[in-house]
Amino acid sequence: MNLQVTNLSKSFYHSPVFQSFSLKMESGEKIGLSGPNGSGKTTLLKMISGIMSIDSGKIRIGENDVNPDEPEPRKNLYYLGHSVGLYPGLTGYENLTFITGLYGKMNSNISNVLIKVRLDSAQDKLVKFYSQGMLQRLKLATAIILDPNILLLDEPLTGLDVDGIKLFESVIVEWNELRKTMIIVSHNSDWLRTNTDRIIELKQC
Amino acid sequence: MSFFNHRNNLIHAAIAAALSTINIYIVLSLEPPNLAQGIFGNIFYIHVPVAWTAFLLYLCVMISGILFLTKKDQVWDRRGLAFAEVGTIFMFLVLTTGPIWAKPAWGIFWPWEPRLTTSLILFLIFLGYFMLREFGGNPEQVSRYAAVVGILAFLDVPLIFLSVKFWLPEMQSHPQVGQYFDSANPLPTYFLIFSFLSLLVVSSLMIRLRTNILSMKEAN
Amino acid sequence: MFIFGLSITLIFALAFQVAPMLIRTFAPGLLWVVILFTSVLGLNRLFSLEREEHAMWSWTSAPVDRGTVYISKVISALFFVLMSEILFIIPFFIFLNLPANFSFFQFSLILFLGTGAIVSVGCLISGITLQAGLRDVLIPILLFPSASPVAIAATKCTESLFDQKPFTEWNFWFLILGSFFVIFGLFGYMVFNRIVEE
Repeated sequence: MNLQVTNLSKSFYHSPVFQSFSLKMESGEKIGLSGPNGSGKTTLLKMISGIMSIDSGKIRIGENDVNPDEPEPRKNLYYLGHSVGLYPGLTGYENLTFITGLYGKMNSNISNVLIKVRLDSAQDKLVKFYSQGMLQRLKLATAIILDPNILLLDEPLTGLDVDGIKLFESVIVEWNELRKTMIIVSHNSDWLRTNTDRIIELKQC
Repeated sequence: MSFFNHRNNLIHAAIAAALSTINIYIVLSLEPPNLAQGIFGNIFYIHVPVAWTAFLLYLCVMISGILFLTKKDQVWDRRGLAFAEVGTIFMFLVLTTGPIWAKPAWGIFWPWEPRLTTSLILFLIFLGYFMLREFGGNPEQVSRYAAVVGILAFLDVPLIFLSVKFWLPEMQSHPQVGQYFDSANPLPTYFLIFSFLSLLVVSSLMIRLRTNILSMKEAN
Repeated sequence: MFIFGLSITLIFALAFQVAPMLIRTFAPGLLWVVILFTSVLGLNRLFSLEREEHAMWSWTSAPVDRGTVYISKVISALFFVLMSEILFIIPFFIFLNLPANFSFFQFSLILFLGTGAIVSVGCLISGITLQAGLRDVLIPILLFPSASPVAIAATKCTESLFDQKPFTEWNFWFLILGSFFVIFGLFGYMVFNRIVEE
């Protein structure tokens, strides 16, 4: 599914972060986003996912414009953020059941996916007791179950051990074969060069 | 100040000053609408137009809020804040002139009259509005929250008014504004309208000045 | 919330011991003071789970109508406040020595509608103050004046019910409660989208 951003503008505390920013992605394309702290990498992903409002401009996913009043476009994407973004008082399994329910995928085989990401032993543990690496694996499990056409991955390898990184890379290869559109944010330019089609460097306004 | 460097603004200020002076002169020299109240009765000529202006400004806060939420233009947020600030100043005047007029008119400082009570409740909501502006979080979110509170406050007005009006039926026995107008003598009516128009000129000057200050602050 | 409601009831009972006959006159108002204060406690906690660790992002980025989330919050807040009311109503009547010779069905309706009206505007205010620094203070400051028609109408309904007046004499106040519930419920549904965006 293609993604198009046209003349996007956004300010924080009256300082511009984006000024007439445009981006066009074809279906199945993988883009790496890099840049210094405060250049707007996470902000861009949040705006595309609908978490954050835009000041002006347009974001289009497939045939639909992203609009906070329209939930439909959000069906096709998943935002894997670097904040927790889960309910700390629920278990891993409960969080997955909740989120997959929101996307209408109530009959998903959550247990099998948790085995795949090696979280089956911790699925009944409360998320507030998860380590950073375990949280990333849980979010990866969510992305696998939801199977969206567009994936917004914000520093997905943070906190992962060597096995975790290999697992993530293998899943990205699978997604690539399925022609999923991906935006990946990372500070590791070498990794981005190897795992994406092109890199966009954001600069501070 | 750069606002008063512009000719149009100077003219506006001059007109506002002239109208206010005439207003005060007439209030002091006109015969009180109710002779028994003495000079305090003339507060009626200030209290009523000030109340009308305050409610009109709060209506403008609601309209600015709706326009800000739909158009996402910061101009409407600045205007909404300016309307709220000036409106609250006028509402404070309503709440001070009200009891000053009420004591000689009805023997008590606070009669729980529907309009005065509605004014008090709106004033309290807008004090909360300013606290939200100050402590509500990051400016972009706070602008949206303030717009919602501004709409909520004015949406509440008819319900507050109706509730208070039928709450204490015995409170309805106090003189209504209409009783002051004697069809044989139209002067009080004309003066009330004049007073309201002059207050509109003064309040619009205050709003334009405040909006200008907010724009300059944002530009810096 | 039940314990808080019970504590306030105790304070009222102690404060009015010098004039026990006055309690019957003021009981409807006292009841709604207790309910309002108890609601504030519940509303303070309403979005506490979402505040932790940005848990809100799980549904703001999901394909769900955010207005529906507001409605679900209103329903859950209404449920919890009503449950605590049911628990402290009986001690309220016992400690204040109030007679209970009225229609329980009508009383339940008044409690439901009055609490619903408070919670419909309260959920909106709770969402607005989600990121605020002084949210514990801001919620009652914004809620109490906004909910004043509810306080008046609910007290009038309860007073008429305790005095065993026919429904036709107080149906106006019932209408005020219902109107408040509907108007602010709809308003909250429409603007909740704008409130939860970052």
